[in-house]
Amino acid sequence: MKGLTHFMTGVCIATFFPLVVTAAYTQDLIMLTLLIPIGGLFGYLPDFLDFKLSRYLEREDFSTNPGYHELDPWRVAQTIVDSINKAYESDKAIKLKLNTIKMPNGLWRRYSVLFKLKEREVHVRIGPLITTGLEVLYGTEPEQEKVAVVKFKPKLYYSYEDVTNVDIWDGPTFQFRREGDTIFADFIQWHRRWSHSLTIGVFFAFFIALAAGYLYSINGVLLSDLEVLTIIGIILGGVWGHVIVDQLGWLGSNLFWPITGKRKTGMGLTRSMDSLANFITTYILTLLIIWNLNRFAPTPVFPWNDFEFFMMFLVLPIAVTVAGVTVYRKKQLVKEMKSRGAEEMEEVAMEIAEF
Amino acid sequence: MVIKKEDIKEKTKPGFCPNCGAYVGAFYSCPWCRSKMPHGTRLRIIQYVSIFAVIFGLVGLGIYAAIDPAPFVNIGDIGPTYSNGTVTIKGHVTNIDYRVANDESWKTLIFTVTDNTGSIDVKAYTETTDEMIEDKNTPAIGDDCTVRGSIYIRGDELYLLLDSSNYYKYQRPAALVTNATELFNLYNATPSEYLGIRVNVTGEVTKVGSSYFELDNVTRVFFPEYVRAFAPEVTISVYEEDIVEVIGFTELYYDTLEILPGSMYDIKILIQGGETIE
Amino acid sequence: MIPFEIILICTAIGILGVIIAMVCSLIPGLHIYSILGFVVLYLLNFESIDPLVFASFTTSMLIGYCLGSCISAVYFQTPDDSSVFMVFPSQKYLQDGRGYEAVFLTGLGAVVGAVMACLLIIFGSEFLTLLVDLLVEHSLWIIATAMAFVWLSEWPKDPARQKTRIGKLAAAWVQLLMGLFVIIASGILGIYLFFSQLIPPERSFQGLAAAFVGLFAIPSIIQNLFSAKKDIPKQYLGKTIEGNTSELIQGVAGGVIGGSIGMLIPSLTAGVGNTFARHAVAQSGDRSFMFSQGLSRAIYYVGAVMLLFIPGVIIRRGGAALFITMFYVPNTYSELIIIASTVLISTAVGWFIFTLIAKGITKSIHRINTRYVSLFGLIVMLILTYYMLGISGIFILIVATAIGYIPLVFNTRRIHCISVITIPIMISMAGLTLVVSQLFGIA
Repeated sequence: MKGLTHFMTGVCIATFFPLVVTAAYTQDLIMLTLLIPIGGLFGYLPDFLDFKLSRYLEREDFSTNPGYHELDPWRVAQTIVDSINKAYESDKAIKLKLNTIKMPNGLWRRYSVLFKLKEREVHVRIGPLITTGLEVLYGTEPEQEKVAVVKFKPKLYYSYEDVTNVDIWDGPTFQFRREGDTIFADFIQWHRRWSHSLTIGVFFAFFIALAAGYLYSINGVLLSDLEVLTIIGIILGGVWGHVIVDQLGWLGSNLFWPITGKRKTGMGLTRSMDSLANFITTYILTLLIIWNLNRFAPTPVFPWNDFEFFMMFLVLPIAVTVAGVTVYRKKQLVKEMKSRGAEEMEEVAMEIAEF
Repeated sequence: MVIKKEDIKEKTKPGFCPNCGAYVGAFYSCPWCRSKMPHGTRLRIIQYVSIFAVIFGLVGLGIYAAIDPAPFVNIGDIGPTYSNGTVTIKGHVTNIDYRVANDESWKTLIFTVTDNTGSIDVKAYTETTDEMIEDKNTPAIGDDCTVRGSIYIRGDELYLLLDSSNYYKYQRPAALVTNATELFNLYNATPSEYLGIRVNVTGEVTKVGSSYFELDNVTRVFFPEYVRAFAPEVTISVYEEDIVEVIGFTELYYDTLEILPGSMYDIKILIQGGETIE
Repeated sequence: MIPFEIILICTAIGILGVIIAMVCSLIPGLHIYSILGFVVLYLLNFESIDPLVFASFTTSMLIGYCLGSCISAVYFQTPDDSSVFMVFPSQKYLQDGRGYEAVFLTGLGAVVGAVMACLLIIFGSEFLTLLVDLLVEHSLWIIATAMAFVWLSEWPKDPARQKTRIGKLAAAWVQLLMGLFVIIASGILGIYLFFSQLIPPERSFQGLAAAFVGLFAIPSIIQNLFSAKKDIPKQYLGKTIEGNTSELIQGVAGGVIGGSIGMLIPSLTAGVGNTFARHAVAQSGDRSFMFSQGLSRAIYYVGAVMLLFIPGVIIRRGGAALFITMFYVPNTYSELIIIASTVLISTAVGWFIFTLIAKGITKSIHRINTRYVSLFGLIVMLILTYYMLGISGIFILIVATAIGYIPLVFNTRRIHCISVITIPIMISMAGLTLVVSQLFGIA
């Protein structure tokens, strides 16, 4: 899921605690409401720790360099194969970084990497230009097709995505490690290694609650059991919400670090970049926040009961949206099939004419 | 692989590496060949200068702000363009209004300050009002005061918003010490001299009402709701025949001379006696 | 009962307002609130101006600004490649000769946004009133949440090709920490502006003008002035624009969400709203981005001022509403309808004028040295600031410019500068004004 969704999950969970919501109505307690953005912070924190800390602490053994002018896919493919072969020869895990190619005018040159596991081949293709917003500019591929195919020796196991696109900003990484006769390829190996564990959530929650209790006690204030439980609940809810939602995807997490050492594959139910899923999730979370604010208000402002509220603002809009998107996507698919069909028919007709 | 100079057409363009010709943008060094970019030094200098400019600028601004954080203005000069301004006014309190919700969930204190150019309402909301009551820093009619606040304008409504009890400072003029009958006589002789002054009066309670009592049958002491609210821990029961001392401001209630205390702290019972007031 | 002449005058003044604002907004960096402040000072000399006429003028000027600034933002922001870390879509389009497309898309978004704001307020006023009522008590944590996310979600843009791990970490974190530095510095500036009186008291209604110009406008102008002259290619004046349904939906959704957040939550502008909106709708693609930018800005500016006109409640958001309430507080449904019709008529007229101006500039932009335009803009803003706020205004402007320049040279987000408003407002909501004032020596 995208960052905002995780952040909003943390915020939403925090608003289920009446103590922090009702504090908004008492000037003396208003600072307690800041536990809500703290919930959001902890909801976002696992990805923050990985993308802003862990990945920079990785030391790569190999890095690809297609050359800014040369755009040589063979150099990239060879580097990848070298790293796989090296991982087979040595005991330690070998880390590979795929560097991006920044172009003028806010553009990037994409290149794609495909592992053909049965054939034991790496395919690298230099692709089109893309914008920083990930909009692909078709027709900007190199004039001469630039594809490289290089074989690697050992058996490779890779379960994540078919094609890895090297696009914008800082490129992706791989880790190749040998287990028996097989090389296991981990995509962005630094991600969800320890930060996305249920255990780290427990650690954060208790640590923060302890720190808060101590700081308050210095000022002569003893936190009540409810307040301590609220702090623990908000932080735990934020982190665990993130971890559980990420388990719906493909990459998975190392759920019980440091007890367990490896990432466990996810349930594969959804893709993190799916825009509709993210939008609907964010919308539902926002609605729940508003619902909580209303029901915990001294005088609720909305004239509707819960059933009416959720029917009007949740069920109906989402049903309409999903239906609309489904119809639209189907129409697009039919259009594409028809145009493909037409193209193919044209090709066949031309072949017949030539024959 | 060595890139020849002549092969690099875009070499001299800003943002391109002078060594290998790759596009770099504004970064210091080329990510490909690690050559330093020509603009790298300039960028570093600008970065350091910006940071120092911010730090010194804010320090300078802070010093400047501390010189006169809330300048004095004449009340009569305050107009629409003063909206959101932080100012200090000086004058005397000419009116007090106190509003409280039935369930006491909010309270608002509004008092009027007048100088020789005009008048303005000063508003204090619940927290500030509570703070003023707790600090015993509440206004009284006739106070010479200095008030700092922010100007709030909304259509015809214009007032100074008081944010803290610390921003209301007052001086109460010395009170004329006398008794109720003598004060009444003095007033009859020269009314203008004895209206709108601060007095310290003793007298016998001759009549008791719901929010007033009379002294010596000639002077009225009026204690509206705010007078009681400003001293929440004080409960005074005044009876007829009590001898009391009252400090307050003289005004006219119809034709009757009236004393308006600032709060219940200004009423003392010297000798007890009489019926309980409600 | 509002006289018919007033309605006619409101319409006429609306048309005048949108034209004046559009022309003024061609000056790069000039913000509509600076112009409005000048207008207010001038109009104060005339006691007999009907406040509804002033309100119509103000609202139409906002629309003119939303349209006119699209042109200056695309055509007159042309720093060279050695001074930009990140190329905005509009700059990219300009270099590709598609500047008109960028202007048109953003302007179209502004038109759609103005109309949507109108309809939203008229038909959704009851719901919006309830929502504002609910959210206003929670403003402290909502603002804190927004600011937290804006900083947390910033992506390190350094290519991370340093040799050492510490080098890579440092390169990434310099950007992020400078973002935090900007937040704190802007916040401190805001504390001085809100809790003390830096400018002449009689010009307090323009208290933030110098800060805003310094934080958001002048740094880009300086960047333009001091970078190498960039040749702008001849622009193509197309008759159609490419697009697809999903881009349109993303653009509309992103714009509505971003603009609404800015409109409803005090001190959060459309800029902060857009950060959320882009993530919420997973916005990708330059066209939807530019369209949503125009749309969100219009919803924010126009929607915020129209909230004031909802009868029976006083919801004051944004500088324009502040200016209007200096003179009167609207309270009837007819006033709302008059303002709404002014918005719609001004938008229609504004769009027509906008296309004429945009086409004219498109045909000649390749011959214009935009650095002279930037220089002109800088001089105008300096003069205006000095006229309105005196030497203290210039001082504030210089400090704010230094703060606003940090995002440009450290590649961090410019929206962090909005802490100039959000931090003092949060402090005030938390009841910590006195404590903070004492800390900064301005109590």
